[in-house]
Order: sequence, then C-alpha cells, then structure tokens
Amino acid sequence: MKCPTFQDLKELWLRREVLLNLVMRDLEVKYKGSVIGIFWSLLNPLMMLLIYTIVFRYVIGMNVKNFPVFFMCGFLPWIFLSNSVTMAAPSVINNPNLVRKVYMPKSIIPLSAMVACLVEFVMTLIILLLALPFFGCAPGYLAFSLPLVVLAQAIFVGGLTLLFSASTVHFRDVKHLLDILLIVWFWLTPIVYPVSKVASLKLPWPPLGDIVVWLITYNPMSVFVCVYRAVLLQNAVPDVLTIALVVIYTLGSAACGWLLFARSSARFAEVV
Amino acid sequence: MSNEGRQRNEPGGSDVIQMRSVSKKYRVYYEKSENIKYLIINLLKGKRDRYRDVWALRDITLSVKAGETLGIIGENGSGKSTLLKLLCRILLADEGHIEVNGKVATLLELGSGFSMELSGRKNIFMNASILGLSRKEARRRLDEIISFSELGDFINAPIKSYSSGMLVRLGFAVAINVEADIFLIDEILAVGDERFQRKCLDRIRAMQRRGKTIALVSHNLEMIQKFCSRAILLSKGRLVADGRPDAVIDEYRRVQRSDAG
Ligand SMILES: Nc1ncnc2c1ncn2[C@@H]1O[C@H](COP(=O)(O)OP(=O)(O)OP(=O)(O)O)[C@@H](O)[C@H]1O
Ligand SMILES: [Mg+2]
Repeated sequence: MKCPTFQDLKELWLRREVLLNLVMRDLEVKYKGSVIGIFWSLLNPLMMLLIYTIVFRYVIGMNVKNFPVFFMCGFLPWIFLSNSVTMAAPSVINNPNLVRKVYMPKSIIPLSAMVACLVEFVMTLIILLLALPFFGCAPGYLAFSLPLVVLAQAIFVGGLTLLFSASTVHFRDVKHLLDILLIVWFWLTPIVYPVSKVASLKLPWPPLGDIVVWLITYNPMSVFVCVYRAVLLQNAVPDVLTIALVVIYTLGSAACGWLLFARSSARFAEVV
Repeated sequence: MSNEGRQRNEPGGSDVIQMRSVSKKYRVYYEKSENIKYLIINLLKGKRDRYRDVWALRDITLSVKAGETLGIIGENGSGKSTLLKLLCRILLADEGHIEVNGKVATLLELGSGFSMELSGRKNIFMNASILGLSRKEARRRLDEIISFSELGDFINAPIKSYSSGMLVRLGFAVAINVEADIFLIDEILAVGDERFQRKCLDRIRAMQRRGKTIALVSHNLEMIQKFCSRAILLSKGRLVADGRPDAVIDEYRRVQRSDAG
C-alpha cells in the first residue's frame, strides 16, 4: 500500500525548485537584489531593542545583565516565527492562480513564505554571532549546534504555517485571531524579561498565576528561546527536559500541520 | 458514445488517457460561515451552511491514444476546463477512475507565478519551474525562449513595463518550450497578434509531428477543425458526441441552433 504522506513528501521534494524560486521571488522583490536590504531586517529588532531598553531599564527599573544580546537571542527567533506565520497564513488565498491553474503540491506556497523568513533569520543570526564578542560573550563550541536548533525551529514554524494557511482558506478572519495570538504569545515568552522573574508570580487569583507561569516556562517558543540562549550565551547544553520538549513540539507541530493541510488542500482548487 | 469513439481511433497507439465513468461535482454555497465569527454565531443559532451540489461533469468515459490531438468543445459552463483540471490532478474526481500515463504539461493559463517587479528573464525561470521545466533545462532553452518571445532588450526589464501582448508572448514562449508527453491546453491560443498566433500554431504542429498527445479546449471551431484528429462535445457536463472534428462540430452547431430556435 502506498502511504499518502510519503507520496506527498516525495512530490514536494521533486518540486523543490518551485519552492526555491518562490523564495527567491519573495526576497528579490523585497530587496531588489541589494545586499543592503538585510539592513531593513535588522532595523526592526534594533529599534525594538532601543524601546525595550528604555522602558524596562529606565521606566520600570528592571535590570537584566547584558540586555542587548539577551534580548536579541530571543527576539530574532521570535521575529522568524511571527513573520513566517503572518506571511504564510494568507499565502494560499493570495495566490489563487498557483492553486487553480497549475498542478503542484500546495504546501509549497506557505512553506516558501517560511523559507524566505528563514533566510532572513539566518542572516540576522550570523550578524548576531559576529556581534557577540563585542558584548563580552564570544560564542563557545556549542555554537556549532546552532544549525540543528534553527532546523528544529524551522520545522516547528513550518508546521504552524501549514496549519494557519489551511485554516485561512476556510475562515477568512483567522488573520485577526492570529494577530491577537501573536501578541499574547510574545508576552508569554521570556523575550524581554528573564524567566527567573516569573518563578514567583503572584496574581490576585493564584490558579491563573500558575497557568501563566506554566505557559511562560513551557510554551514552545519559550523552550526554543531557552535553547538559543543556552547555546549562544552560556555555551551550555540544555537540560534533558528542554531537549525532549523541543523534539516533541517540533514533531507535533510538523505532524499536525502536515496532516491538516493534506486533508484540506485536496479541495483548495475549488474553494480558493 | 465512448465506444463509438474508441472504434474510430486508428489502431496502434496505446491509451495515454483513460477516464472511466468520471463525475465531478462542485459545492456551491448560498450561505456559508466564511469566518469564525459567523461559524460561532451560526452554531449558537443552530443554522447550517446552505449549499447545492452542481455536477460539472457526469459519467464521462473517454480514452485518448498517444499522438492524438483531441479538441474539446461545448458551450460556456459545459465542463471543458473541469475536464482538463481533472486530467492534471488540480481537481479530484468524485466518482470514477482516471489514468494518465506520461508527463503532463498543464497550460491552462499563461504566466503562472509571474511577478511584475522582476525582469522577464527571471520570470522565465519562475514560470518554467511551475510548469515543470527544471532550472537546468530552462537555462538550456533560455535563448530559444527569449528569441521566441521576440522581446529583445525588454527581456531584462521588469515585466510591469510590458504591454499585455508582450506578457502573453513571454508566457507563451515558456509554455511552448515545456517538455512533456501530454499537453492540456485551455483557450490560451487565442491570444497575441495574428503573426504571433500563427507562430504558436506552427509550434503545435511541430508537437503533433513529434507524436505528442494534445487535448485542446477552444471556442474557435475553425481551429479545432484544422488541428484536431478527433473532437468531443460536452453539454451540461455530459459527453454528447465523440468522433471526427467536422462531425462533432456539425453536431454542436445543430444543438446550438435548436437551443436558439
Ligand atoms: N470553483 C467552482 N465552484 C463552483 N462551481 C464551479 C467552479 N468551477 C466551475 N464551476 C461550475 O462547473 C461548471 C463547469 O465549469 P467549467 O469551468 O468546466 O466550464 P467550461 O466548459 O470551461 O466553460 P467556459 O467555456 O466558459 O470556459 C459550470 O457550471 C461552473 O459554474
Ligand atoms: Mg473554461
């Protein structure tokens, strides 16, 4: 018996050139072929860094050691996730001709949005690596495991892009929900604050506090951010639980996204 | 009706396309929860989505031999495009069985994946990969594609600076260079100026000589008559005639006259 998932994956692999071309099209349109273009991808995180530094350090008075690199290690992976998902969610309905008029694996469309963001992410990450020594934390040998971490996050994000692009085909207002979800998710991830700050969170209603603490500690993005910081800043191997969670989240997201997309994409050509 | 068609085929070629009792329906919604908000409201009110199933194709049995050029005619909405989309797997059949042997080139539209900001040259590679031409092959055929398009220096300019006819030429130049065994062509020949059209038709002739199988949808009956070795007539999703182009075209004209009168 033929396994449909395997067939789909094989077909996706055979048509990888289309995916790469779509990625290049996205990037080229965005940057118009200039290398300086990457500057724009850096500008956003740098502005955010400035704002959060002012607000957290000087307005609220929270002091995090080596905040700039601490922040970037969390924020760059976050930007990768949030850009990928926001760009991929409407990608299928924005490219009706690729769905209705030609035959190709539909997953190419959202995944190409993810890969375009991945390329930007990797470039900004390289710049971060080059900048780290100037902040007194030259990356150690564990930085060599970075590609593996990035790959795991890309698979995780890929699953989400499939999930959201497929649901956007059926429900056009997923975009609005997504915007809200991303804001909530951002603040439930220890990007601008260290996770140690919330270990003893006291809310007026204790159960809610427990839930929030649990989410801040164990949500997928928190786990990834934790790994990035361990590898980049502490040159430490993350603990077993963290690694196990990374694996579970990565495979879980990929499996859910893939299966849901495969189920609903068979009829995309009729409904898009 | 399909048996008739089969008898008329010259013996020798093997079937490259086989459809057995294929039906395809579209679900047309009158009222649909297009977003989550309405889904929740409708769930609370106990309202269901209201839809009607439209059968775009009904019980189509058809086989096409290698090297045949099949013309597909019928009035608007009779299911011609749907038939081609089933053959290239853009759509899935609801009933019946479809078998297609060989590499299929789907030419339902010119210039899929074109990006207005990019140069003609870059768009060639984009479009070619979507139509199933590898980058390597596209590079090998690049000169031919460019010269066929007759765009000259414009090939390096962003295609937003092209006239619509120039866009069509570029799209066609790529499409005509796709390598495949079976070509599914929907209406795209009726474009470009007269001289360019003739050039395109010459290419189709060349494909025929090389033994390619072609399924051609067109409202241009003259062209069907001239180019096809066989034609079928669709009416309201059913296959109502199958045979020599002139006979099928006569049938089509007769049906249209009786509809009008
Ligand atoms: N995505 C869709 N959703 C619902 N109904 C559809 C859809 N696409 C086509 N149909 C219906 O299916 C029938 C056949 O459509 P099709 O596009 O195959 O016709 P056609 O023969 O190609 O017509 P034309 O000559 O105008 O191109 C029509 O009644 C049309 O309304
Ligand atoms: Mg049509």
